[in-house]
Amino acid sequence: MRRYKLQYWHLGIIAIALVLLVSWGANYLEIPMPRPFNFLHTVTAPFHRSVNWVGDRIGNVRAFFTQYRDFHEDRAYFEGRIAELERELSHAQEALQENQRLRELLKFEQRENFETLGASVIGFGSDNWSQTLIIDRGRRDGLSPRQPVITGNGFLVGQVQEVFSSTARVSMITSPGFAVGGIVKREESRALGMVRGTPLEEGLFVMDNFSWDADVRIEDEIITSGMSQYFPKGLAIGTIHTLKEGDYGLTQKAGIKPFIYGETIEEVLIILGEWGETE
Amino acid sequence: MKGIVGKGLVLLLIVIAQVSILPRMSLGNLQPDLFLIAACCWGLIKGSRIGMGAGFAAGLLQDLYGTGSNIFIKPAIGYISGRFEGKIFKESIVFPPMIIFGASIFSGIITYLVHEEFLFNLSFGYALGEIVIPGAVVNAALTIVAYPFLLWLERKLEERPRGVYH
Repeated sequence: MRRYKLQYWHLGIIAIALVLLVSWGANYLEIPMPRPFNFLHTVTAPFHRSVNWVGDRIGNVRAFFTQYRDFHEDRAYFEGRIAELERELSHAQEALQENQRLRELLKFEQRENFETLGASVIGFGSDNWSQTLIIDRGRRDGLSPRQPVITGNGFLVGQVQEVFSSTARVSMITSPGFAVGGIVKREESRALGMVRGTPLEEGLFVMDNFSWDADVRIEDEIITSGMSQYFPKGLAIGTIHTLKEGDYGLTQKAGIKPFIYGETIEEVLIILGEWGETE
Repeated sequence: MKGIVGKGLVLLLIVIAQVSILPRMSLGNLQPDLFLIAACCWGLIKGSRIGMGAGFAAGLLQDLYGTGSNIFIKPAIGYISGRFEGKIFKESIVFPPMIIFGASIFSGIITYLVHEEFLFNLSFGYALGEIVIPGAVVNAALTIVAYPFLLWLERKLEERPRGVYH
């Protein structure tokens, strides 16, 4: 009879089977699993920060030489634009005061300001599947999973997925599996749907579950509906670029062009704490 | 010992390149999988045992920043590519890219099948045509440079210091 001899690949298969069994079991039973190697995230974070710092400096020096002429043209343009925006700001302040007076008259609750925390993007997902960002804020800065992440101008970036000691991983809205309630911003429409990270054609992703007769048009802007407890209302998501029938004509399905583009994001804001309903 | 330290340093450089540098340089959403290339090349150069060990370390590091299935895919890839060690000419620049192309397809299909967020949100055709095959082509192309470098590095690490004889 041939004697069994344990080989390395047998051990490998046994180890893989054990890892799979334990992780699926823990996931099924919703048991939080210890992550003994998460400290590596903290160990490698300074290297990512350094690489980003060097990359930014190199980019600035290159921009100085390659875009010197553009800077003068941009300066003249922006000086005009600042004057224009100052005029608009003055009108907006008047409108804001009027809005506050009317809200008091109608006894509407005040719209709460979000408490936010700024963070720099120090890395991205390590494969072609997941659309994730690595940011330089973590548990010790008060971050916790599922907090919404936006850009400085209020565009929805995604949601905190996993938090480490000094870094966190953010799942972007263009990640497969990501879902958030959306609403058409246009006052006459306000049609509700579900924005998903499911990709369509190049650069577009899906917004579905619009009712078949919803007033939805190309170029409509989509914002968060505020119906989920995880996202406040009014965060800009993207614009509709394509529109077609879904579910055999029972619904409408849109292709959304997001306002954000992953690799160009350098800083983000994390929305902390609670937010109130406006009405 | 020198070999383990050398591989550790290479893996650290790969983490930095994969997470901080390549995404800013990539074409669209495509970036090469340096962890897969390293695990596969080490398997081809040093055999199944080293390939599997390096694959485990690479998968572990990659999962800190990625999808979460690499910890069992990469050791399998390291082991399988290690089975070719001694069967192909080590200086060949034809076979390693072909093997890495195949390993990338294998890795991509397994990743698609074990993650429900991909399985239920991406069609198989989209995953294959937009992610798996283009990624495999990029990996194979980069192997033409990465494999000779890792082979050179392994030989350097194996060299005994001059004047020391055992």
